[in-house]
Amino acid sequence: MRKDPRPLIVEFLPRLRRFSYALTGDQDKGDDLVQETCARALSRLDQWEAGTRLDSWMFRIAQNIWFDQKRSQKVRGDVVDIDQMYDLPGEDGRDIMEERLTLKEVARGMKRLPNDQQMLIALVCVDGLSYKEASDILEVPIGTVMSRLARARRSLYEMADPESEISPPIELESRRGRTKR
Amino acid sequence: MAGLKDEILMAYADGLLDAQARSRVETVLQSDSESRRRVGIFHATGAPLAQLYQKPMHEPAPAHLVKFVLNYNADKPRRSASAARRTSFADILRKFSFESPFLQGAFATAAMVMVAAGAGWVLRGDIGGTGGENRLVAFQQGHIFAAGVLKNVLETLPSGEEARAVGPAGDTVTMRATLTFKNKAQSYCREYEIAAHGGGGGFAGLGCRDQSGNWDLQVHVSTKAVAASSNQVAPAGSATEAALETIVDRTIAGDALGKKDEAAVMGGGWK
Repeated sequence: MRKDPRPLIVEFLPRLRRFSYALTGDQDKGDDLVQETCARALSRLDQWEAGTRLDSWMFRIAQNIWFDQKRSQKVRGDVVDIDQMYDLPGEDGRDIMEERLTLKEVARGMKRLPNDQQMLIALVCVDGLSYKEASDILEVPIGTVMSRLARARRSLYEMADPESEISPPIELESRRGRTKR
Repeated sequence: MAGLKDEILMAYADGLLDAQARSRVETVLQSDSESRRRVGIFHATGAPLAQLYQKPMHEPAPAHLVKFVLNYNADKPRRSASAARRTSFADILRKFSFESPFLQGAFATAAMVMVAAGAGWVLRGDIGGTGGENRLVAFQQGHIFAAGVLKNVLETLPSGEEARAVGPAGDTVTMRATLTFKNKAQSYCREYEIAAHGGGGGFAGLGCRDQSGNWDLQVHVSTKAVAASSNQVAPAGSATEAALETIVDRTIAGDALGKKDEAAVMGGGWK
């Protein structure tokens, strides 16, 4: 008998919430996307191959739901006013401006990226998946992932508010670690 | 000069190059300001960007999402997340008004046991036969406690896993705990579901463990459609589910336990 996957899905919720937050740019909308994703996954468990990665499968479902919603929003003209978002302080109390990136700028940039590039930012930069894992989820070659991701990161940077232009120092001796899952 | 390709500089910024490749990149960077500028872009869109979205990783998942997953029943229509958040206690009280034909029907059929001290409801009934080892609830000293298989489920079964038992009529009964949390009195509480296959309907409830190791049932309620009158059927499932959800929201201290915390508490004898 198949093991109940629901506890696995609960364990995965924090990552799915973070991913959805990055895609939607809003925590409440992100949580609605999480719930829709869980509902679709639970109603189609027969499509999930036991032994394969549940996270990859659910990221794909979330992607499909979100891009469907975006399409219908375009038709209805229901556009979120990104300029009303605030520059939020970092969770450790530091002002995010210290990092030269703000949630408002990134969310604005994310909304302007093509769908495949949004997904790559959310999967690799935010969730911390490797290029190979992202290529498996999106079912594109790893070389394509790398070129699209590099383009996405440059576009995101260039779309940031010119007044808060990012110019971090280059530290040849130390490299930043990957995001922990 | 054109410098290095973006993909190489990105992999360098992400710390994914081996020592030899890294060294070659760093040699180029020493003399190529354009490549240095581009590495800066990839640094800035790496960890600092991820940092903006870390909040969900440092807080427990909202109880309504955890419950949504653990209680999910593919056969039932679900409320949206935003609707679930909007459920108010007043709405629930209205649903359970004593003037409601649904509630009168519930009294008449005696298919519901519900004890909710805050709202003052005490309805009596039973499940799973007439008594003895088949009883899932037992009255004792003014309390309703989990008994038999239900007690074992609450005491030992991780949330989401299913226990099967054979009912007195030979039908299969499945039980699962769906949520574990600590209430404001610092007792551990568990929400559960019981499904009687073969037309027997089901029950859902909430039990809190007392100091003697008994699971004191705060709510034990039918999720089967209840005949309100000869020509009416009220969908008990959605209303009772909402009532249970509201009682949990009012009782819970903090958030529900994750899988690991639940296993640790269970392994430690619920201390």
